[in-house]
Order: sequence, then C-alpha cells, then structure tokens
Amino acid sequence: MTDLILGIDIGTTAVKLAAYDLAGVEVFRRATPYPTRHAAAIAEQDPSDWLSLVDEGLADLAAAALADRVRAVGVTSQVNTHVFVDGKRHPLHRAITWKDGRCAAQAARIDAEIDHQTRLEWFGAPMPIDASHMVARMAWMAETHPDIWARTAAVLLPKDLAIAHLTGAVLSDPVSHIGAIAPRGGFAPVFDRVAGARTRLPGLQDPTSIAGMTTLPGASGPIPVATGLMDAWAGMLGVGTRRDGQAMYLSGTSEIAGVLSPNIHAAPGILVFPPYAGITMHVAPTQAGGAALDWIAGVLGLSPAQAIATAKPAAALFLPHLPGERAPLWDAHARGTFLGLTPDMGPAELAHCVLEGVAMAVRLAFEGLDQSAGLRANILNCGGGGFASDRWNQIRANMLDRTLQCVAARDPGALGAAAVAAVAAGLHPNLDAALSQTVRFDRRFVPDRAARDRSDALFALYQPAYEAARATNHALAAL
Amino acid sequence: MSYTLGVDIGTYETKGVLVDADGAVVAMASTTHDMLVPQPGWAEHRPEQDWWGDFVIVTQKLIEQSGIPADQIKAVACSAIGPCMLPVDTDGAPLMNGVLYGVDTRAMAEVRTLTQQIGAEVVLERCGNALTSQSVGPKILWLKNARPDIYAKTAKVLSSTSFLVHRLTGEYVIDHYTAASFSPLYDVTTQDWCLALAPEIVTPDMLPRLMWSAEVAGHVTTQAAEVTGLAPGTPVTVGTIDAAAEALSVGVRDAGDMMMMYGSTIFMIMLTSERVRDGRLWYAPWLFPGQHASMAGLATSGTLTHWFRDQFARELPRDTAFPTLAAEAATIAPGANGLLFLPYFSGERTPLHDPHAKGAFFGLNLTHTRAHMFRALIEGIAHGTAHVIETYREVGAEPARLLAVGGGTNNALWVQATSDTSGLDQIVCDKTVGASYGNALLARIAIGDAKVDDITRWNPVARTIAAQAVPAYAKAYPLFRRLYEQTKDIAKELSE
Repeated sequence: MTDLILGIDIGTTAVKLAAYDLAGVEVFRRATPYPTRHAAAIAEQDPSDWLSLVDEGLADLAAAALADRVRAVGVTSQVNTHVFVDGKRHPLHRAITWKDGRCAAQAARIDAEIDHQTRLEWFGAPMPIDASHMVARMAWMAETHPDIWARTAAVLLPKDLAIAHLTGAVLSDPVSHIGAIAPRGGFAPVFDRVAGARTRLPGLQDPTSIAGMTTLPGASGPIPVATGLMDAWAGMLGVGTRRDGQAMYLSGTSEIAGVLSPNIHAAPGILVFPPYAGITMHVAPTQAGGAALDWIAGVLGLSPAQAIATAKPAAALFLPHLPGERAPLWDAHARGTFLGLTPDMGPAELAHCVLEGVAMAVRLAFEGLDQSAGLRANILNCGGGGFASDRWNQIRANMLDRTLQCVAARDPGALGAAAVAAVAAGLHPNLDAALSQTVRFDRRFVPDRAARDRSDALFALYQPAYEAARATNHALAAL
Repeated sequence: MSYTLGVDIGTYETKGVLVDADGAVVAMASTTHDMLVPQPGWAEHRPEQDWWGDFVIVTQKLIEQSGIPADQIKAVACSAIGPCMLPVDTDGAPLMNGVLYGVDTRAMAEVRTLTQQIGAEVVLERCGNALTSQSVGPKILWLKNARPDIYAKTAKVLSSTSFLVHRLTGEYVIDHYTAASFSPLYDVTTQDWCLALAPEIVTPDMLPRLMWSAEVAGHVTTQAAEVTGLAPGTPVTVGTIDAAAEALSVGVRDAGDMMMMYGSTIFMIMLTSERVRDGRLWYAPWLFPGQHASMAGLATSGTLTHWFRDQFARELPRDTAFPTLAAEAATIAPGANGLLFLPYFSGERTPLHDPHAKGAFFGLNLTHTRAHMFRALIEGIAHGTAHVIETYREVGAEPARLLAVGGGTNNALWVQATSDTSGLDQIVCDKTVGASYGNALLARIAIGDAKVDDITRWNPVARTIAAQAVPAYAKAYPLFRRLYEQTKDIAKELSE
C-alpha cells in the first residue's frame, strides 16, 4: 500500500480534507461548508465548526481505512482571521474573520501613530494597519472585553488552532502573518503598542518545519504535522507555481491571480508578499468569481451549469463587483452592474455577460500584475472549483489572451499544504521536488485569436464603466 | 333615442362603440389586423383591408348586435394610429400600403437632409417639433425619391383617419393635431399648411383641407351607406389620432390636464393655454381651437415588463405571470435594496432623445433576486416618467390633473410608483374603453348635442392614486439622473 499525505484547508466558506499519494493522485476528499455570521461590520465564525469538521473528516478517513497510510499532515487556512485562546487552547470568543471591520477604530488610531519612516523600519514597506490586522484585533479585545483579554494566552490563525488541536503545539509561521512581520523576522514592534500583546503572540517556525506529532484516529502511530502556511501560498504551490515568471490563477467563490518575480515595480492595488524561500509573490485577490455565477444562475432559475451552457455573447457589459471588489480596485462599495441592455437580450446574454465580466476582473488583475512583476506570464497555472466548466475556462482564456492550464487536483490549497507536509516529513527533499512530483495538469485552454478583437473592445470599456458607475454605486450601497 | 358611433383603428386591433346621449356604451365590437413589416424599419397597414375593411366590419357588427336602426345613429367619428403617409389617386384609391407612424424609419435619410436644408432651429420654431421618423413630410419626400412612379400618380397624401373620412364622405380633410405631424409642411404659428420651408415635397393641392376635430367633415355618402349600413347623410366628424381621442375619453379637457397612457410605451398628452416651446417636448394644436397640446413619450415601458416576463419568468403560466411578478416585487421595500435600473432598452425619447441609450442595472449585490430586479425595473420606468414630469415643470407646465389610462393601470405597483416618483396623484376613470369612446363624444359634440365638459358625467372618476412621499425614491432619483449622464458614452460605444 502506498504512502499518503493529508492536506487540510480551513477556507472562508468550507473545510476541506484531501489525501493524496506521493504522485499527487487524490484518494480521499471531504469538503464541507460552514457558516459565517454577518451583522453590520461583523463577520465572525465559530472555531468549533473548524475543529469538528476536521475531526469528522479524520473519522471519515479512518472509516475508509486510509488513516494508517498517512505519513504527514499539512494545514493551511484563511488568514487575518483571529481566534483568542486560553492556556488550554480553548477559544474564548468567536473568530474575527478577515472580512470583519469592527476593529476599524483601533486600527485607525494605531495607524495614525506610526510615521512613514517608522513604518519602513518596522515592516520594510509602508504597510498600513487596517481593521483586519492582528494588532488591531488585540487592541479591540483588550479595550472592549478586558476579561477575555486577561484570560487570552495566545491569538491564533485557523490553521494554528487546528495544528494546536492535532498536536498540542501553539505556534505559527511568518508567511501567514502578512504585514505583521519585521524585515529580519519575528513580529514587528507594532505589537508593543498594545499592552500585553507581545506575550500573546505565538512562536514562529518555518512552514516546512514539523509543528508536532499527531496520531490520527484509526492509525497505529504518531505522524508529523507541518507548520504550514496561508491559503494563498498553499494554493500557489498546489497549482505548481514556484519559479520566477510562473503565474497562478485560483478560482473558487472569488478569483485570485498571482505571479512570481524578484522584481518589484509599484502597481496600484497589487500586493507583494514578503519573500519566502526565494519566492516573491505578486498577488491580486479579486472579489468576483463563482459567487457571481451562482448569483446569476439563482436569478435566472437555472443551475450554474445550465447558466454556462445557455450563455451567448452580447454587446453588453457586466461589472462583477456584487460584494464590492478587492484587487486591484480595492473598493468595498463597488457593486454589480449590467450595462448596454437591449430588448433582444435575455438569460443567455446575461449569463454570458457574467462569465465574461468575471474574466474581465481577472484580466485587470493580471494587467496590474504584469506591471508589478515587470513581466507577462502567458501561461497561467489554474486550480480550484471555479475551473470545473471547460466552456467558462475558454471564455476566460479568450478574455485574458493567455493560456490556462488546469491542475488535476480539485483542491490546490489542500494539495499545497500536503506537499509542504511531505517536505516537513522528509518524504520529498524539498518543495521543488515535492511539487514536480505531485502537481499534474490535465486540461489546457488556448486563447482563440478570432476572439481577440471582441475581448479587447469589451475590456476597453471595463474600467471606464467602473469609473462611471462608481459614485452612484457607492451611493446605492449606502442607501 | 339617439346614438353616436366611435371607431378607433389601432396597430393591431380595431374597436368600435355605440354610445347613447348620456354616455352609456350600448354596444361594443372589435376585430384584428396585422402590422406588415416588409423589411426592417418599415411598418405598414393595408388601407382597404385594415382601415376601411375593419371600419365596415365593426360598424356592421355594432348595428347588428344592438338592433339600433341606422337613422338613430346621429353622427360618426373615427380615429386611427398615426400620423400615417398614404398616397391616393384622383379617385381616392390607395396607391400603396399606408406607411405607419414613428415605428417606420424608412425616411431617416430624408429627415437628415431636410433638417440640414431648413435648419434644426427653424424647423423647431415653425413646426413645433424636430423632424423625426414620426414626421410625414420626409416620408412623402421618400416617396418622391424612391417611388417616383407612385408619386407621379399621387393626387392627395392622407393620414389613416383622413382616408376613412374620405371613404365615408368623399371629403379630403385632416385635423390640426394630426397635421402638426406633417412637418415641415405645417406651420404651428399660423396653424396652416406652409410649403415654403421645403417646396419640393408637395404641391398645395396634394394636402387635405385643415379643420378642427369636432367639426363636421361631411356626410355619409349613398355608396358608403350601402357598404356600412349607416344611414346616408349621417354627419361625420373630422376626427383625429388615436392617442388624442383616448385622452378625450378619460376627461382631458382643460389646460393642466394630462393623460398618462400606460401602454407598450408611456405616452403623455398635456393641454396648455399657450404653446409650450421646448425641443424636448412635442407640440401640436389641440382638437379644439385655442387649445394647445404638449406631448411626451418614453421609448419603452410596457414592452419592458413583457421583456422581463418573457425572459426571466418563463416558468410562470402566461396568464398569471404578471400578478406573480408583481406580488414578488411587492415583498421588496421601495428602492429594491439599493438596485437601480435604466429603462433605455430602445434608446430614449422624451426628454433625452438619445437613440443610443441602453438599459442597465446598477448596485447589484449577492442578495438581489428576480423580485428585486422586477421591482427595480418598475421603479426605473417610474423614474423615467418622473424625469418627463420634471421637464414639464422646468418649462412652467406643471400638470394639474393626471389621468391614467391603458393596460398598465392594472399594475398597482407601477401606477403607485409613478405617482410616488413624480409627486402627482393620478385619476383612473370608470370606463376604460379607450379612443373609440372619445370618438363617440367627438361625434356628439360635432352635432351640437354635447360639450367637452360632459365627459366628466359620461366617464366619472373611479379611483384616485394618491402620491406618497417615499424617501427611497427621493434618494434614488438623483442617482438615476446621474447614471445616464455618466454611462451614456459607454452605451454608445457598446452599440458600435
């Protein structure tokens, strides 16, 4: 029986567990959605949902008689989602997710205290402190819930809580704490601004290190759990993107574009993650994606697959900013917009507008990435549930005017986490070796040259349309 | 007893009524015909069959059904879709199919040529309206250019109503309201034909005699009596276009009265004591001397509710689809949760006059459903209507009384939203018969048996829709106005 590696991904909307053999072939998968509680600026999750879904997944793995073959476990997760735990690693409060804006006042206050020079010294970049920053979360808890703050032993990310749950080890990794790490490593001095924050920070370890050991249910002995890293990185690795000049395109409820390059040219709205293991990731997480397709399908009374099947091109435009937009526009108050409707259009044309609109959002992201990275990646390594439809993939390739190659694995984040764990456990000598053996592409979409004029003409209107509608959409969002 | 006969020829339907001296409808009959589209942009009716043929069928039915002796029918009036362009020979026989109103765009090249030749300002001042596909003058010029063979045989150019009146009486007449659409051949200041602006289109003898709508044009000839069953010698009024007769039928009679017609498009006719001079609104002398009409129309309206039903409510049974959609939309609060709709699917007429404008939804978020979108669509049409009302206010012609007619008045959400966005109450009258009923009154007026004011007795108010202050609409309206301005260039580019 072959050895297996297990990847766990605590995403924003679902917890996924997937086991692969060392060649990357999926032998087990469980993906279960769970809720987020929204209210005004609040977006919070119950950490016990994460842990019980992990436990249920492991029980399924045992029931499938696969647990004993697992040689390493890797965990990845959403980040800028924080959970406050006591000395026994029990959560004291609902997790405050990356989408939660309740700590905006604390963030603004701390941000205002830091001048430009200090910022560069602390972070190596003019990093802003926003409502999702860990230090703002700590300040908020200390001010508004001093009792909880007093009992807080550590503030953890979802992946760190899962690792603590599996191994008992309380730690984290530097890659997952974007905007909180000093240039020479370790948490930045900004945490000294909140009394008691420093002592509540987890220790940091390299992602490919072993965090601790765990014995899976149904398994005979302990196996290593890797320290791991955040979902964007795990996804990037899971689609085989690891060398300069390579690009990734992840698609789920939203679309995330990224490219690797050691060169950094400032580009509006594009994020550049601090380098890790010689990798510098330029990334543009958009807000548009599968959620837009699900939405239009719901409005039309169709399944998403039916909506894609019926789609027909039309001379109309859709801005896919239904929940606002992230990179590169960063506009929480942007909204979805159909422009150019005429009486001959119907469900087929609206559906096509949505598919093309999502692709336009990603084209804008890649154009920013081209600038930021100083290079144009013509082949995009793609992964995630959003690439299920070949028809949509071709529409994307045509709009982007780049070739899409899709990975065989359905959950690139889980595969990336598992690959990191394989390195931690010594099953592969390094990440390069792990990825070259586990990541396989099984579909390729080459842009249709005949579609180029239409794509260019439509895309030329995308940003003007956004600019034109912006003020009104903001006003509508405030109504 | 004495009765009057009113007949109206619509785009697809002809309707007739026999009405007694108190305004009671004693008989009603209808028949249907097709609109011919021989090529894109052309729209025609067959005059012998669709106009005169329908008139005969409906009249015969009415006499037969009611059992009323023909000599008790004291006067006849008709109206029809228009303005149309129909060339007839010296015997009054049609030389081709009737070219329909603004839906027929065959003469757009002539519209441009004539506008350039005369000057847009001069056309507006002398004719009261810019030249458009609605104008008959350019269509006659098209005839001269494209069909010189027919033009050479043309003795008169008639509109649909004129053709019917000629068939009944042998007289060639036209009312001033319809004649105002014969631009650039009619001068609204002198209220007379004027060939000076474009002398090449017609000679004076080719145009019918100008009269007022409630004047007696002539009397039913022996020949017409034989065919229709009417009594020879029955007075026939000059009549008018369908929309004007419809306005009359619901009590539009004084300056400040406005008809709001909820049809496939929204069309408005408002009476004024002075001519309203504004390029955004259309102008014509009213049906009676001394009164003026200022008109406006959206490019789409009812057509959009049909579009939405046909495209997004295919699973609903056709006969209950509108009530279901309206009930869904009624569960959504005004403002449709921050969703805004531009109704310019076929461009827009009043007040934007932009053929390149397009439809749009703004402010979409993941919680919006079909119900939100239908509600936003209705509210968008209502905002479009409020924009027209605002235009009337800007030119100092605030409507004093709004009289709602048409199939759309059955959509409570739509009518209420229109009142709420425009800040005006609306009146819905008891009888919803339409233009043919207005014709019956015109006929009665023509023989001196009634005055216009009698319409309030004939067709009393059934209900009033009170305008309510809805903060969500007040907030959305400026955004609605701004969005068109901000996105019109993109809409234009999308059409290219």
